[in-house]
Amino acid sequence: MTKGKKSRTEVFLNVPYDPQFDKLFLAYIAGLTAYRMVPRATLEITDSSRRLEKILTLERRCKYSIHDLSRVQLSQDKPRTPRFNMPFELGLCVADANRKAGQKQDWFVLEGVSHRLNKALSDLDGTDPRIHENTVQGVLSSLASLFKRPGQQPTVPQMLRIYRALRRDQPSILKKAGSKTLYNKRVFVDICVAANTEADRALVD
Amino acid sequence: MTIVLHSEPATTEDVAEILGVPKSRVKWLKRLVDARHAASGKARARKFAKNGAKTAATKGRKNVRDKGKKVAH
Repeated sequence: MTKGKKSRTEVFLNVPYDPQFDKLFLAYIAGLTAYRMVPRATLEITDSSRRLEKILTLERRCKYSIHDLSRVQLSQDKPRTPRFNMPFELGLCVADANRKAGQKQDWFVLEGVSHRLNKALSDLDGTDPRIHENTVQGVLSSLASLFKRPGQQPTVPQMLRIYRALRRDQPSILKKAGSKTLYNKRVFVDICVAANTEADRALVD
Repeated sequence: MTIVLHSEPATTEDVAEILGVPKSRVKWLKRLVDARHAASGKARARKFAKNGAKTAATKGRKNVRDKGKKVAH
């Protein structure tokens, strides 16, 4: 791939890094992998120096971006603060989407509840978010309605098979990485590779 | 809006290269997936033994059949 040229298969995944989001996080990876795309996330950026610049570089590599705003809410610990990372990164992508001719990025917003987005972010009025109802099936169905791969269109049951396999692989991957959470670089990249290997099997059956 | 993907499908090796996963770990991840599938195959073989040996599963099915007969008498 030429340096700087956008890859058609990389997808920027803007999701909350929250243990309560684990299942949906795996569902996104399973779904995108079923379409034979490569999920990218800010988890890959490990050092904090010039972080914003690195986020932009990563985002610009991707042809598509998916923004899950279902957990834009007050944090549990004090002082209770709303999470702004996801809407902020969505803003970056929207602003950057048509920056240069020939580098157009398609961005999609997913939400857990209907009509919440209009209330929380009225600037996006006219954009129809996909509603996944905070379920794995909902995420996979939303992805299935967003993307189509002629000749190799994965079905939702096939994506579910990859998701279930990832849930089974999760403890081994976490153990090997010495991590308790899915939200670190090594675990994320390992899960993406495992998902692709699972997809090889799930999509031929 | 539905996006039609015309791009080359990403293989496991493509994903590993893009995400910077070393080859040794790709091998381990492949083994992890393969081992689970092989294990599920073994479990299936145990359940339906080819040599006619009685297994827990066939005993279970026989018991159910016997109970059915008793009810019929």
